[in-house]
Amino acid sequence: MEDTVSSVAGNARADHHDVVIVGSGINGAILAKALGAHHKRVLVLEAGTNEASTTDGYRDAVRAFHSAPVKTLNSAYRRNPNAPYPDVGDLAAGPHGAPGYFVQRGPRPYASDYARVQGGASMYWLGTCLRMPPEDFRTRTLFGQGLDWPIGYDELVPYYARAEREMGVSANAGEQAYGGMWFPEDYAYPMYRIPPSHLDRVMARQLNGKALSLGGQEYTLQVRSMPQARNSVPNPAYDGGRGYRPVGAAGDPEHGLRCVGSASCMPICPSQAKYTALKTLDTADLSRTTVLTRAVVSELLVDPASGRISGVKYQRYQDSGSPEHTTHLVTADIVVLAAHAIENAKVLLASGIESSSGLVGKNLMDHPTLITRALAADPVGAFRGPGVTSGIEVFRTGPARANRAGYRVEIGNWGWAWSSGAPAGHLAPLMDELGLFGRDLRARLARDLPRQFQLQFMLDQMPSESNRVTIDPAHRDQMGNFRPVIHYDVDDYVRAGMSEARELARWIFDAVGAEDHSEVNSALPTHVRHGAEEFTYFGAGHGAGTHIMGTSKHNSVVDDRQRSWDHPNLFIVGCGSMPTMGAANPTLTMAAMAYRTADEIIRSL
Amino acid sequence: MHTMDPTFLRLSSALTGFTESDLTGTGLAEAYHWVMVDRAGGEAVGRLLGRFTAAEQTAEADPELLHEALDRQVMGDPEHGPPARNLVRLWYVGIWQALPDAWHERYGSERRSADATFVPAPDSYARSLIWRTAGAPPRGAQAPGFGSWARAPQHEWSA
Repeated sequence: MEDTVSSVAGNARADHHDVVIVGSGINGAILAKALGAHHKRVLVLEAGTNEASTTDGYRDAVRAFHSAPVKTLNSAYRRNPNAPYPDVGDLAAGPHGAPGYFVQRGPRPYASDYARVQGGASMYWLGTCLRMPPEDFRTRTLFGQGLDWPIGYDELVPYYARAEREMGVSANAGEQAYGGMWFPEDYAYPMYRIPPSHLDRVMARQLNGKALSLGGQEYTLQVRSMPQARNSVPNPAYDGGRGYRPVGAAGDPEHGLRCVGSASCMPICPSQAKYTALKTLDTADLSRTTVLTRAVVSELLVDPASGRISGVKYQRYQDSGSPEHTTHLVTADIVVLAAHAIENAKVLLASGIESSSGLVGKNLMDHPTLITRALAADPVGAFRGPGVTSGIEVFRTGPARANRAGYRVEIGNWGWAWSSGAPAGHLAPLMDELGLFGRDLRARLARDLPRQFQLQFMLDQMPSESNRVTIDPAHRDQMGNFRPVIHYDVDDYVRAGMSEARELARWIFDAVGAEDHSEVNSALPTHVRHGAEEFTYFGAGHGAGTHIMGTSKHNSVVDDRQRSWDHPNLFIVGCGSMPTMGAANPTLTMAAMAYRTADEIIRSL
Repeated sequence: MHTMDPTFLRLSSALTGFTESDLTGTGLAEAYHWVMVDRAGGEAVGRLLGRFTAAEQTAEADPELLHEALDRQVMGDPEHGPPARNLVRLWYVGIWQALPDAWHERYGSERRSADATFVPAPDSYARSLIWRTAGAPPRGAQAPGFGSWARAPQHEWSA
């Protein structure tokens, strides 16, 4: 098919914007809203569709989830060959035979997904909004591991607050002041914490205050409620006593004002009490902003003399099923890549931008996740409420990080769903392997399912240049854009963390009287060994590190405000800018960084 | 017009451990009978129901004897086992799983439509018996209210 380069409106001036933003996930939405509030002329280019963004479309997505035989994380959203994205089901294939979007070069698969739809992966994220403790920004100095950030917790404190407002975070500040994290005096989160689950309470009763020794360190356990971007009871003390009004469903603001326990945050929250980027777009002043969906950015054009981005080339398609498209070029004073760590790297590499440091695409990270599971002594009410409401956070920080990855312990409310597809996934082993049917089957399911729970250990993977995203002209999608080619492994530091986590899981299961039913599947490509122990890891969906920030163009791709060192009018934003993630789910920190970047862009224009 | 053999409900009840009225209460009995006939073939379903009727006669209303007979003559049988397990799957998780090619070649109807794994009805997911059994509302299809997850679980969930 012949490409035609044309302008959007046939008028060269009409194609010039103050800012072009690539991607409409949380970063793109926050930047569009912040810039819109300053009356900037903004164009947002979203590769995916907005099929799930209307009230009806959102309901259709809920139904698509109900009708999907396999409930993968993005099963509510339609596959789109023009803006393909990975699905956890695609990731298991070996180095050369991946049938999905990623070309996995190994030695082990990068096991996380994301979505290329309006709203990005926020459409199916859990909503966890942890801050990163101060020591997470200085792991090189403190532990000899990873890299130091050019900024720290103190610089981010005001931006964390803005992100917590925009995303509507529910938590109690007093409970979140641990691991060195501090809050301004009288700080209140917008809403009170989400009520801990019955399971959390059972665990807390049996674990809180218990001491144990692991790897030569002493720890005291505490089950702690997790900050979440889902609507709870507004805190009247918020904002110096001005209070907070929850943000309801996008396009339907009287609904979704409080979480109603649909228990399907992933892949879709039917009530929209959970934050998605759609809410930010819905509450933005878009009078001078255009959000263009079905617009796939293929390349940034670089002016060789100044290094400035002189144009953004994108492909517009109408129908996801057909590769037919037109090609367009827009210009802007400032260009922002906000398309996910892996997509950002892909666009940069497709544009010939490897950066002075050569680090574009390198240091790809995730939180490799060890899932352990058990049957509690009594029914704990599995499969109810948000996926996780509490965790144990003492293993994220401290001197042991010199020797093993820090980790979070999530207490999983959805039984063995993540590891086995339960409750549906519990049928096959009982029926096909044990031969149960009839009353025996019913009794066994009724005995097991309400007692299922998981401890999910998310490990702090440090940056390594060998974990990387590259491109290869031999691997393209149907519109001719590159598929990410990924080299990935989990090193001994992560595996040492897994070993300790496994030991901790045994200790906890024993302390609460639960039967350990954790499984290792040596046939999976995510199978790893550490000494005598073996594990299978899962991906956490926390893609990061492909355009890390640092102190100079020689050690990083962007500066501490996510501005490209080499291209002065280019910002590359998102978790890709994070030199390390600690063990915290990175979204809140990413959103805080987006506000810091928004301020910088407004200053620059 | 599709008519459902009442034997189908008795078989479903014996294989799932739920009463016939529990099953008809889902509103899905006819749809599932139709899926069985469509995918496994009417003749194979007829033979399965015939085998079940014979087992009922051997058992003379003793549930223990019926269970034993079904274990041997239905679940453990190379012809009847796969569609019988599929019937259990339909009721418990609302999914029709494609039968193995080898089964189709040997026992299936020539007029069968192309078999594939799918969710047969819009309500299949929400009304699948696994949720009642788990004591939890179907994730993403019912909303028991703010803070409901903080309460101790009920023994069995009923909508």
